[in-house]
Amino acid sequence: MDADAFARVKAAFLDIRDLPRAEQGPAIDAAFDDPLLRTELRELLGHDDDDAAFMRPPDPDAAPQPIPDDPPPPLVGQTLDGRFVVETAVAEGGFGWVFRGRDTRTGAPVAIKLFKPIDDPALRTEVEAAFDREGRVLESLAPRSVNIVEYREVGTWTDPDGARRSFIIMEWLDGVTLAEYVNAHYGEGALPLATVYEILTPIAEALAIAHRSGVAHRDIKPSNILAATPPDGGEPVLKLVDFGAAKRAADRARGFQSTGGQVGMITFDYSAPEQVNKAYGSSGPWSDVFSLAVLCVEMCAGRHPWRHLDLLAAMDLATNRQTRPTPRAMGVTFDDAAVDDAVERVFRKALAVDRDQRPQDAEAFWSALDEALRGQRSEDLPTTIKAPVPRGVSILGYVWLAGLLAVVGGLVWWLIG
Amino acid sequence: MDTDDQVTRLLQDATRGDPRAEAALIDAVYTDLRRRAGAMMKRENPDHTLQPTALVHETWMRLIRQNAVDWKSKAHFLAVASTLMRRILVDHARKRNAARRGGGAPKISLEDGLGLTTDSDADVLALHDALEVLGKLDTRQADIVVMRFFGGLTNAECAAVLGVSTRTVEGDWAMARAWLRRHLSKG
Ligand SMILES: Nc1ncnc2c1ncn2[C@@H]1O[C@H](COP(=O)(O)OP(=O)(O)O)[C@@H](O)[C@H]1O
Ligand SMILES: [Mg+2]
Repeated sequence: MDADAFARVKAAFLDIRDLPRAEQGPAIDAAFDDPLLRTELRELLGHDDDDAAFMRPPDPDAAPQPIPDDPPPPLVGQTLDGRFVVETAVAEGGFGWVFRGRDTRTGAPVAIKLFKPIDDPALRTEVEAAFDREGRVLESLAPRSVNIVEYREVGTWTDPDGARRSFIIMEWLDGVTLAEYVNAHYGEGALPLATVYEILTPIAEALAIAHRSGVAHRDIKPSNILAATPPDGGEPVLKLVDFGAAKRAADRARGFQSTGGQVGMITFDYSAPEQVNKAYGSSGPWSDVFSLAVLCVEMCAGRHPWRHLDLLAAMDLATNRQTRPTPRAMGVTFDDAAVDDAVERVFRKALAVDRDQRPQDAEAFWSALDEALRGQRSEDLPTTIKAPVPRGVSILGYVWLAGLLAVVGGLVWWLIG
Repeated sequence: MDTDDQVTRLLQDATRGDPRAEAALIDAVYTDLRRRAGAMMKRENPDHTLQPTALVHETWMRLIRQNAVDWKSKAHFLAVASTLMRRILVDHARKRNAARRGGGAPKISLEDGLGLTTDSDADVLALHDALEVLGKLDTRQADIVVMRFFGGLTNAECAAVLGVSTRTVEGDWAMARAWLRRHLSKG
């Protein structure tokens, strides 16, 4: 039976099980034309009550607790700050929603990130202040790099339910994620490291600028890099979205609202050790270096070093000081031995478990990589992939789908396998 | 800060949706659960019965200052621990299978969830496989079975963790139970 058939049987099962026993038989017969489904349903229902002891736990339920319901208030059509009209929802996360909207003053399309309300007044004040502070920093960053999404405004808005909610207004980016962009432009599979270097250079430079301004992104991953077509046409430009401010505020605010059954995916695939466990120290620009290095390795090896592992094995690999998932460890080698060694050295450092052994910011990392690849790029030697790369599997295409962890309403499920 | 406080703090942060706290929490719970389950299983006393749900609840009592967290956080903790418990039992059964060591294993009481006691690794693995199949047909049903069966969560607690109504959990649980029983008895 497939999931569709199962769902149909389930719907019938739930309808019929509440009927008096005598009425169940005819209802089962009427439920499906397909005799297999009917049999399935009959067996499921028929045995449900017969063997009452089987799998029926002693009911430890005290009075059932109320489950908070959190339907989104009607946001489309609202005007924030008397200026930004909310038009269509484009993404939902644990934090709230991203909408496409319009700046009524200029007529330009904008992206609106609207957060769920925070009930706790003290926390709300704190989050709003942090938001505001970092919003200003981000605002000042954008003009210095075309590769950082432009932040227009950070504010709070009182929704129709009377709750105060933070929002961020950004330039509207018309495009796709890095994953889709790379697949479309370069094909699926492993790429030469030199090509990876070229593709990601705008992002490394944007990060370098942020780092110099004292801002770390803290969530570098393919789904936070968009390839946007400029409003006046032309080649897509890579833009970094989802900066630290929003991230941290959202993380804090999130917990104060149930996500109401929404299923969110969170990945640890690019996190530095200190981002997973504070015992490794504090996070900062050096964490972005780690994430960027993982992304490089994934793109040039054609597979992620630990995504396919279960959480503990993945954590082991991510924090094992002896074995680092460098390109060499992933089977990527270079014909020129000097390049090969230099690349290994750069990635051993960038992927160091201890943050103080890494290049301290994106600029240091990227110039070291540039140095290591110099011979490689001028001679344009192809890299050799030793490890077999599964054909037809999109390397980056599933990056944002597959996670080490799927977080279901805050619950982490094991992907046991 | 002693570990009580640390783990309690992690739980609070994890319940608020901090994914990193969640990972660190898993790490702490897994270490504790594995150590104690491992010790029990090493004793290899055939008269001994290992109760997964009791172990999970003990871990809850040991690691968390209960008065510092609400019932939802407790549900969250138990849900995480139940998935870990499943993993520990399955790992253990697989290892023993590989080592071909028969007999002497502690009984594993699945009473809380299944109304049966098993002393065969094959049962644990069969259940695990059945849950894998069920998970592909209906993820939530499989999730609920894991929580109830390995963690002893109530329907209301499952509902809170999943963000659905208690009634939805009841329906899913009833069907999952019937489905598993059929699936397992057919072999
Ligand atoms: N400025 C923007 N223009 C267009 N789409 C955007 C913009 N910012 C975000 N998005 C869309 O919304 C999604 C989620 O936004 P993001 O800031 O990454 O939030 P999250 O915290 O959920 O990852 C992005 O993956 C992208 O599809
Ligand atoms: Mg994002």
